[in-house]
Amino acid sequence: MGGRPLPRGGGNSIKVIYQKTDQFSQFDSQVKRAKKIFEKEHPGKKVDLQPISAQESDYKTKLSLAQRSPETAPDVIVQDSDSLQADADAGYLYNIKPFVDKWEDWNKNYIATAKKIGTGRDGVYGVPVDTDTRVIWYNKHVFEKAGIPIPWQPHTWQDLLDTAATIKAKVPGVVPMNMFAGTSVGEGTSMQSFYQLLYGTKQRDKALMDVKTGKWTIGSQGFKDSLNFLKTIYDKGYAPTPAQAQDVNIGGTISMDWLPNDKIGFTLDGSWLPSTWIKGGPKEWPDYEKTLGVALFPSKTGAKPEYVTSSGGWTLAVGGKSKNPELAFEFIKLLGNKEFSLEKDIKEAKIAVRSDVAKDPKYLATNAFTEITTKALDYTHVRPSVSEYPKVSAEIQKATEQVVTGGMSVDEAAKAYDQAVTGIVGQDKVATRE
Amino acid sequence: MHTAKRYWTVLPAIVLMAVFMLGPIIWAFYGSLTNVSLSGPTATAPAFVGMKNYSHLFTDPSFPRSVWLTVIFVVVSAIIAQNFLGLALAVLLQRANKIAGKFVSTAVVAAWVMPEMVAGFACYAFFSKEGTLNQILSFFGVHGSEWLYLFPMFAVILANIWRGTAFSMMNYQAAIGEVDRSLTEAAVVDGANAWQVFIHITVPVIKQTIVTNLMLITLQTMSAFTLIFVMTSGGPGDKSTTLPVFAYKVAFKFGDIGYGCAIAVVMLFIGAIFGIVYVNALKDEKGVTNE
Repeated sequence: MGGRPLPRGGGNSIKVIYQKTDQFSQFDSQVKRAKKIFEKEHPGKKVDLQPISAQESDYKTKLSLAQRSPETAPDVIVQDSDSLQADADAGYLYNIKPFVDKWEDWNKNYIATAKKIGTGRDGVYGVPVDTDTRVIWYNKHVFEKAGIPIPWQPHTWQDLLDTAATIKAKVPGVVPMNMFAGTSVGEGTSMQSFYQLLYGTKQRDKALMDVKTGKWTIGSQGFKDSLNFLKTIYDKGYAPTPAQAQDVNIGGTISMDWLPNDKIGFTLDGSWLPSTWIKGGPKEWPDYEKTLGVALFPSKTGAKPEYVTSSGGWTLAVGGKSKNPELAFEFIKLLGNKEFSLEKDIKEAKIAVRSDVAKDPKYLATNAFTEITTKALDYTHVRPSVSEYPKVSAEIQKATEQVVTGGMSVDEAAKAYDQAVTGIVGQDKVATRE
Repeated sequence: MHTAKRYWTVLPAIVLMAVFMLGPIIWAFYGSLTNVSLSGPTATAPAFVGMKNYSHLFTDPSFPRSVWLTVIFVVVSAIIAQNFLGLALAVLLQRANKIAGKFVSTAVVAAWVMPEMVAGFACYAFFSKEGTLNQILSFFGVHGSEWLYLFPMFAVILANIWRGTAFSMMNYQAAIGEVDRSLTEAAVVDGANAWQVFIHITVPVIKQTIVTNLMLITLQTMSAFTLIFVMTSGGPGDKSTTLPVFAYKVAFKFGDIGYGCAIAVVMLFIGAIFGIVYVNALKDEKGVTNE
């Protein structure tokens, strides 16, 4: 399985497919400049750019359909890492391991944890272009009123509960904390909330799935503990009310209203939040760098590795049906170089995947939190990117909704999850891990 | 000889239907018997799984829920509201002042001629939290609601009534226009009031149109996708996930094309059953009016 070996050479042009929307216009300008440089450096070769103007899910659907047929299949793809393994299994992606092994930049400049984003079960299927992390954003005004010392860095789950209890007691009318739960927030519940808990329990990187064996974890105490943590913060009134939590716009309400107006103590959310508050963002907030602090999310007991985060992001991949994989990879090398990478990370407020970019003063000056949100990458986990993942993730969202709304006990919800996962992936692809 | 000639003329239509209707139907039926997916190992090498997708369908709790939502959507927005509202408008417009009539029918038809996408956005803008409806309500001092979140079915049903009523209205306008005046005049001479004329003369005469209209709007509404998808994407959760949205989610969000095909095939059967019922009703009616 994985990328198919295909005849080499042939064809003097490579087809590049990428997403182009208002938010993604930055990449469009880069890829056009890269085309000019590439065609100059490789006389006689052509780069055929095929942007798809669509939102993320439609882009992915269209891309998958294009990849089904050799006539429409691209050579270079801007690929969301969350379906990397699924697309590799489908034969849509080429295993670029032999290429990256010989690429000096990859060996020297790409951050080891970032490489995981482009790595599948049996090969490398994408060169990461940018990433993100999840951290705790706290409001210093609320913390001062509650008498909590700043800077603040919790070391265990209990620290989080204690801090929330203090805020609840000392600053009435403020929501102490938020962690997403339920189906309305969709993938946000899994990625921005639940995985920070789950990956901080005993099974750590295998808590959801063992990527090596491809077996999903069921029956783990860590899963129950994670659900129980969410249940606790909702039951004790530390988190928003269940009705607020089930509002699809809860994320926006927190970042655009509660945080700027000192109505919440802390929230767990993505490293991209400052793009909401910068000049020209959806909610301009000149003082955000002064008012907010950032902390890393702790593992359950503070055991090493002490902190937990998870990362997604986009990669550049070579099409599995490409007739010219070497040339396609040459183009990826160009797009992944330091200049392009630095420019993209700064303009899109993304986390660097290259260590030389991460150290660059211009990158570190993006905002006051760039250093710590980048440091979080050392503790990151990457979602399983197999084709069953979206269904399993939907089951996690259901389980969290059941426990925070009181529809099921933690044990019932965990059992229902185990059954659902077994049903989705099959008996032979689950493993009971404590 | 005659019949052979007749078939020649419809041949292009048959070819087009075969390529663009029958082809996809056959493919969907075939797909529903496999585990073909959008990505993953079964994307390019699907296996034959027999009736597994169908047995899964009947144990999946989402399926009865989405059938139920589809039934509510079709019955309330099409069979009841569009149908009766369309009929009422057609009758009233016939008697209305010319200018008022022009104004009303233009307003009603405007919603219908809009592309479905645009109509969907218009309704989204109307019902959304900061939308027109809540602004109007706040003008009168009433605190609005999050319609699309708290009452998603209510919102999409109202939207579909708004958009689809024109179709029924135009059908009925045409049919009522054809009602023989001498019949209604004779009834009036015999002392019938307007309501009696409508029930005893107009309705029996336009019965065929009623059945045809019901069939068309039922099938159209059952497969309505864009309007719902643009307004709520089937959410929150799956609270407005009718069968077409369900099939879309399964096939393209979860990448399970085989299962999505099975839902599509089931929809096709439900549609076919409705079709047969209506066509039979139409046949009976023909017998009556021909007498």
